[in-house]
Amino acid sequence: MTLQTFLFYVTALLTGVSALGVVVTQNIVRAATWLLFTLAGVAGIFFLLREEFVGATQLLVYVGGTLVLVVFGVMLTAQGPFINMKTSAAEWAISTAVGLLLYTVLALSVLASGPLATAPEGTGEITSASQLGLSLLGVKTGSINSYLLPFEIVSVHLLVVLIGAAYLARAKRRRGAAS
Amino acid sequence: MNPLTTESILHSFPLIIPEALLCLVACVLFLGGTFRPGRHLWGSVAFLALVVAQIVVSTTPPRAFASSEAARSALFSAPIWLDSYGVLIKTLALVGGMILVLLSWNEIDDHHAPEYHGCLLTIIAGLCFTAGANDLVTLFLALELISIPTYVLLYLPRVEATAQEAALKYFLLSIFSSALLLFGFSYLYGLSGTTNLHGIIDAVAGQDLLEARVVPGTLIVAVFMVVAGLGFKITAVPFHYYAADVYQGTTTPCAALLAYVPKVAGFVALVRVLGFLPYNLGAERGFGPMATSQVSMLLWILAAVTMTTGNILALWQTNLKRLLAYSSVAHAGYMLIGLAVAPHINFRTGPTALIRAGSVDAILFYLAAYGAMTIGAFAVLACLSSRERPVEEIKDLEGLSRSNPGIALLLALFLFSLLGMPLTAGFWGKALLFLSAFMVESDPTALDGGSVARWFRILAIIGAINAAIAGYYYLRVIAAMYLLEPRPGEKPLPRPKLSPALVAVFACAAITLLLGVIPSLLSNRAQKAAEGKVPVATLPVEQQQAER
Repeated sequence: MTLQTFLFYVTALLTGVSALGVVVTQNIVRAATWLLFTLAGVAGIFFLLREEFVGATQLLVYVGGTLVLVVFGVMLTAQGPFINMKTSAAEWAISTAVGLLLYTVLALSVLASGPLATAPEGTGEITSASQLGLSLLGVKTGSINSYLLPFEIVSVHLLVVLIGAAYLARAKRRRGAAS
Repeated sequence: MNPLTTESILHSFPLIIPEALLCLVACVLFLGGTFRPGRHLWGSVAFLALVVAQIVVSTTPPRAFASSEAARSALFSAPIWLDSYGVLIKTLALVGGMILVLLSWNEIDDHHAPEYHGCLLTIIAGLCFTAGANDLVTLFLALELISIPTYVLLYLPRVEATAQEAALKYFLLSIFSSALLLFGFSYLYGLSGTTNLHGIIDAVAGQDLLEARVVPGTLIVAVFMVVAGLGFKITAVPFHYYAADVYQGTTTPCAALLAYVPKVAGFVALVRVLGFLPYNLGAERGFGPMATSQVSMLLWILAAVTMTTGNILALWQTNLKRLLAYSSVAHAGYMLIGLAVAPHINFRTGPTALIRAGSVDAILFYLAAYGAMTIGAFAVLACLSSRERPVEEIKDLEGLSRSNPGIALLLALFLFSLLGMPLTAGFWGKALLFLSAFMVESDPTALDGGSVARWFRILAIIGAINAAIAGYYYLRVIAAMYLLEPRPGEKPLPRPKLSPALVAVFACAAITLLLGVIPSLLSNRAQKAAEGKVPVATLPVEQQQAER
């Protein structure tokens, strides 16, 4: 077993265990903490695959950004009864069955496929943020596509989301005033 | 910026002018609404934008390529690819958008109008993007451009508890379906190493699956996830349960929108991702023979279950919106027949029957017919309903033929079309789909030993039985309108005045009748589009260069 394989198993084990922790724990704040380890573990796997840029992005965006948002959301909204999630035995049974079923299907399909003929190798083409920024602005570098159009579509998404969020907030205040 | 990039941007920009225009006008609406409220002003702006976009779409000539190599390289790299199928879908989207703007004109108050129409325009823009998407990234963003404004729309008009519940239910389930879709997309990307839709099909079908007799399990998982994620949008059966509650909880225009736009988007996305449009450029159709038969089997089961469940659940409904919701589930099932047939019929072209039935083109025709009749039925409800006298249940329509003979006739027309009576669009829609299932010929050399044709005949028969079941609940509404007296002691429904919503009803009725009497208006075009020919310039290359 090479060092890399060993490291992979360690990282994969950590990721898997903490992913289980997210599901099993009943406390939202603890679930968020477990999620932190899961996402960091995924970043570790990216590093092991020599996709440093993707790994760094994973750390920055998910571990650094999204997770902080989740924790803030939990802190601002969860009060009293909502901190702990009560799940009934039936829900446990159903979700375990569904989860195991999905896991079996995925594991079997991966095992049956064997090594893929067209497995994309780690290209490592994007190695800097400036290159990524350029491709978002529509400059084609090497074989990396320009992502100008998706970038623009995302901006329309954000606009609509902002409008919707403003309405959500406004409607609440008006109702509060009425009652 | 290097010259190569500028060129590719200049080439793809003309393809997205309509979408860009719609997004721009949506921004104007969002901004302008803060200065001046008013449903007439902003409604007309939105309508005008859609009309202009439609003019742009129908006047833009198809992009011609100098050679098939140039076309091929563009097909395998462009994020947006506009073929005639995409143009027809865009037309469906824009015309549907105009009717929806008219329908919602008086249903929203002056203060919400700009945001409402702005969101509606972005939804239509998203549908147009979906029609032309040629890349997983673009496709996903286009689908989200439909979903996200829909959440806002569901939330905007009312702050009642039921509307909020509907919005929340749709929001959570829609996000769940997006996650499934992305999961499937990630597997497709992993299998092929590209996000380009044609690149994926080429990479997957390129492996000699027939010889190996092994379908990579991951491919089946990927397709399963993609179909599940899009199945939510088309309300295929395991993912249909939100429909009735959400349609009932929200306003009538929003229900009409939910019944139409996500369905068109879902079917177009399925056709594109599963590669059911053949191209004369060497790209394979579908995922190769073996995977194709499995994908087709999955869609076969989905079609049979969806139409049967939808129709049977609709039998028990007394609420009109719930009834239309389950009827829309059933119609999704009929359209899934076309998808299940597609991989089998595309390998052979040119059936010799009286009507040349395809599969992908039959879906397109059915989408147009379904849109006209369903939006029409919802529009009639919107016209009749008022705050004092809401029309919610079937019994609210009792004796409508006495108080409102004209409106009753129009509603009957839409219901007959939904039922599939001749001389209405619904008849030809069903006829083309069922015929396409009968057109499947057995291939004795195929792995399944040539039983495919029998299976698809069974599917067509299941469809016909379902159409008969559907007769019961559509005719129940018609019977309530024509055979029952108005209930004593209840005010008859007021005659609707001429309003934009009534114009929407007339427009839907006109489309339903027109497609019912002259189906070739659309079906010929759909057929040509479904052949997926890429416009390659007929001029010799030297002459073109000389012209430049």
